[in-house]
Amino acid sequence: MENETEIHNADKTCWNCPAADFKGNVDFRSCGQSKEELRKAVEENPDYEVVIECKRRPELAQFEPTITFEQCPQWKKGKFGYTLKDMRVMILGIDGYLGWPLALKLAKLGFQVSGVDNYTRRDAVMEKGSHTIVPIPRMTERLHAAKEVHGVNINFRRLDIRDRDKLSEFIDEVKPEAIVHYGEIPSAPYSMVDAEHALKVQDNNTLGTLGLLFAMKDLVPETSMVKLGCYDDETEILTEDGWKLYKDLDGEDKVATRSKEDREVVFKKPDSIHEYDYEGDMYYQKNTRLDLCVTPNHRMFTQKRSNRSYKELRLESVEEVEGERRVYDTGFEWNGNEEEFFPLPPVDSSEDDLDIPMELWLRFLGWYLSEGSIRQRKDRPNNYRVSIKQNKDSPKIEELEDILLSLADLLGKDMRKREDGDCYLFTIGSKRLADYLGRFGKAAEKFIPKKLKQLDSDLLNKLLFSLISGDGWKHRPEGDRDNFRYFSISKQLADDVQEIALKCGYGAIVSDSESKEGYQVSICQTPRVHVNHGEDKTDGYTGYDGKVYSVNVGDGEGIVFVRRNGKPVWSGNTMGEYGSPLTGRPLFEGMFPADATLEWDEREWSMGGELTPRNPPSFYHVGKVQDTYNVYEACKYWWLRSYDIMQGVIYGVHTEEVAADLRLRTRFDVDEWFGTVINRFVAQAVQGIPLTIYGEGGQTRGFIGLEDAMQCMVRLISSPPEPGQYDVVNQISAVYRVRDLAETVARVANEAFDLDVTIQRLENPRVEADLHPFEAVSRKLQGEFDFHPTVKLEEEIYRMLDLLTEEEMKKRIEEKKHVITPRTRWNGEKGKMDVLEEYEPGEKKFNINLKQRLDSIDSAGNEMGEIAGDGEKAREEEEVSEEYETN
Amino acid sequence: MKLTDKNFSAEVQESEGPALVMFWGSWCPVCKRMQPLLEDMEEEFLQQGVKVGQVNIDQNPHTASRYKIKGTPTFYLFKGGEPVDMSVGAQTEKQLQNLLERNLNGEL
Repeated sequence: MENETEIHNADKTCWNCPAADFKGNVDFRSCGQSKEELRKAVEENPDYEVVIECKRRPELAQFEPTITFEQCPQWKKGKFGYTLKDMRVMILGIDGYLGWPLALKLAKLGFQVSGVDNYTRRDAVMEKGSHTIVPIPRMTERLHAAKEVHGVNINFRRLDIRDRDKLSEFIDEVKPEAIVHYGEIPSAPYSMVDAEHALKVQDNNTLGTLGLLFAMKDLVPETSMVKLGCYDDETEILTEDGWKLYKDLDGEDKVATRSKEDREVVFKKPDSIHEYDYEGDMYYQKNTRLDLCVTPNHRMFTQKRSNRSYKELRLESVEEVEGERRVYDTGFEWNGNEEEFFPLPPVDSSEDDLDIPMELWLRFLGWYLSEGSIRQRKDRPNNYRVSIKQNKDSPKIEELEDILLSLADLLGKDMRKREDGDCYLFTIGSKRLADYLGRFGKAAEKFIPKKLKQLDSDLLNKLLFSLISGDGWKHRPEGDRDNFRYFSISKQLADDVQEIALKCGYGAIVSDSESKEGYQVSICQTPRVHVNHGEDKTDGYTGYDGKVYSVNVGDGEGIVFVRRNGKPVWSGNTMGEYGSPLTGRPLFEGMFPADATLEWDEREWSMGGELTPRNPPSFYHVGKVQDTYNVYEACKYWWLRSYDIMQGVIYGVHTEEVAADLRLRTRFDVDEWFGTVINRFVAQAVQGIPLTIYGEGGQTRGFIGLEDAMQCMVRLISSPPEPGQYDVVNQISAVYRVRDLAETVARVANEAFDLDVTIQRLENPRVEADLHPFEAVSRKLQGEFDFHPTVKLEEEIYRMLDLLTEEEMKKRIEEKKHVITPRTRWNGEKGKMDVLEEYEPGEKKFNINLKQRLDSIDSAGNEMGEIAGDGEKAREEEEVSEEYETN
Repeated sequence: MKLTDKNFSAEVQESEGPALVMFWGSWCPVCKRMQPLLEDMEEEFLQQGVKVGQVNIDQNPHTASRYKIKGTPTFYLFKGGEPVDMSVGAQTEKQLQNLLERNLNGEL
């Protein structure tokens, strides 16, 4: 079915790939709100382009996200299109009817599968007095069998997805590249039992999903800044020797500290350093310029802001600042050493130091660290040259020349200037200078000597601006504030530049460079960071289990950088939430297509992209509708990516992987709450219960076989949405009426298994139309994902009957026959339904034809586009309304 | 037609004939729904001498910024390389046809 040119995801690019890490000002504007900042950045920089880094291929550095799956060596061609090599997929609800077969299928295909479950399904089925007809072993045994039979390892963790801390921890650990959300209670009747069950279903499903969305949002990459006391293990502290992780502190390190009243910072040896294990909530405060994570007993050092003035800095408890608008002061005042001269050491120790005015030396050193190099001619070992190269257009060229002339003069050497392409190359041939500068190494190793970092802020300012003249730039040249960026490929130099910028009284953060390999220091004049400024809160609590650290230096403080990571989601939904609109309007894939128009009052509008109305037929389905909106909004707000998969009713027992061993079978429920209709009919046929159809049995639904549903999932996982994209896919392969299904099951059972199966019409326990028009649109699976159904209804029914007529299975059905017949009524009453009629298959002629069809692109050839049972071509069926009346 | 920062000036700005351009984003469900409609209309409009193109605003920030796109989908009608009219939000085929007619009266 597939050939070289038509693989469904061959043309997808890095935009779709979960390994792409967008760099720079990429801004997926929800609702199209254009950010002024981005617009300006783009306007000012004609070379601006969107670049990414690939988490799987770091050697590519930064590049345009245009590599197609077909071109990328990380994507391998396989049975279901291109799949990402070792793609990490997490399945929520991995123990369920669908979760388990999907886990096996993915693992067998080479995906790295992880999963969570809290056995809600096992418990709920047991609570209702039923059990799975096909026995399934405990999870540990399942995992063991998967390893033994298929040679795959599945990383399982038992947890409730509503336990957000544990879920976040697992997500953070696994770093999934796709999440399949099957962790919901999938039962309409179960949600209609009573208030307790309705609440349980909506609590688990709706709140679980909402929490998941937040967990995903919080694990999205962000870089920023932190401060104060009892920190997590990713926190670094500023010492006299630069930044260090808390765990790397030794007793000799002097750490930066300040008092409450005074912004002046001093370096002090801590009185003590504490490290201890902590499990519980950590308070975090996080925005683009601030990132801190502390234990809740921590005191926060903040200011209030009111009426345009800053109140005094105070130490407050976490409780006091939580959710409140505060200002964190991340800068400090620095009274360093005033030095008049820099003593440049001699090459030969018998000579004296050469005193160079400190200001001149710092201005020179700034240029050297940014742009300079040392050359030594091989043929003349005593010929050392210190060179600085600068573009001819640079406005700073004269300033640089002045500095170098003065320095050369002091050294008693000449300064030479020659053209080198677009640049001038300045050289001073001094062995003494070259010898000293040799300690700074190559570009990636450069640093600022500790002694110079101890100078006072006036001198440090000279050094800072000389550095910026070389490798820095003014962030928004037209702005009235002085905000600068400094770039270096040396981590140490970037950290040092940040340190001196802070000591000069600026705010400064270090991050990975947005545009090239290296580090960027962002320097701004105001070191104050506002939090919880508008409606959106930037703080909260998060779970933590690990070491925490504190240092005791009076009112000590430290400054740190943290970064976190996150991923996309897929969620399993149900077509049931659409309901069955009596107008017969098609069940679109979630949203109206663009050519759907609203006409009113002689005007017209396009309905394109608007969510279609839902008619949820139970409290379970109401919860699913809420899920839909939650996922939709989360994609809009946070650029999560999601396919909402509206599954039809799934039937069957077979996938290639579960059939490989008895211990790998997936569960098979036939009770009135968790059994799906075809599966229940098969169990009733085996047990000798007349197949139960409700009311007229004219309910029409979309269906899909288990193996086909799993095939679809693999295709969808391998073809991820683009950033922020929320999309809906109707996952069905055929449309059937319930009474036709009953006829088919009865026929196969009677003919192939020699059973004597009849059909009974019961009064309908549900509040629904049991005769209604139906038209489902399912174009994407075939169109975009190249899905072709392989499961034939009658074959799968045969396969189910074959398995369930085995002695052990028959016994297990017999044991639970009392839960097969429905008792849960939507009106709240309990008890058996009245039997309206019982008949033999084939005996009853149905002459009511409501318009029913499956609208898919591929209408010829296979099952798609056809209604089973009557065997008529759906598209040719006649009008609806009158015949509905006659019944 | 897929328009990008690279080909926008050649295909639209330096082009004499009229062009209808949709600015869209992958996170915009309305845009995703408009795409097939626009692709369907492309040939029909071309017969009337009107080019139809689409610009992904995240992938082509320069073009998006030049026309100050504030909402999606935004439809711009260009004539002689200059924008002459615009419309924001989902459009029916008839509305797009009207957009052309009221600006290109007699030229179609």
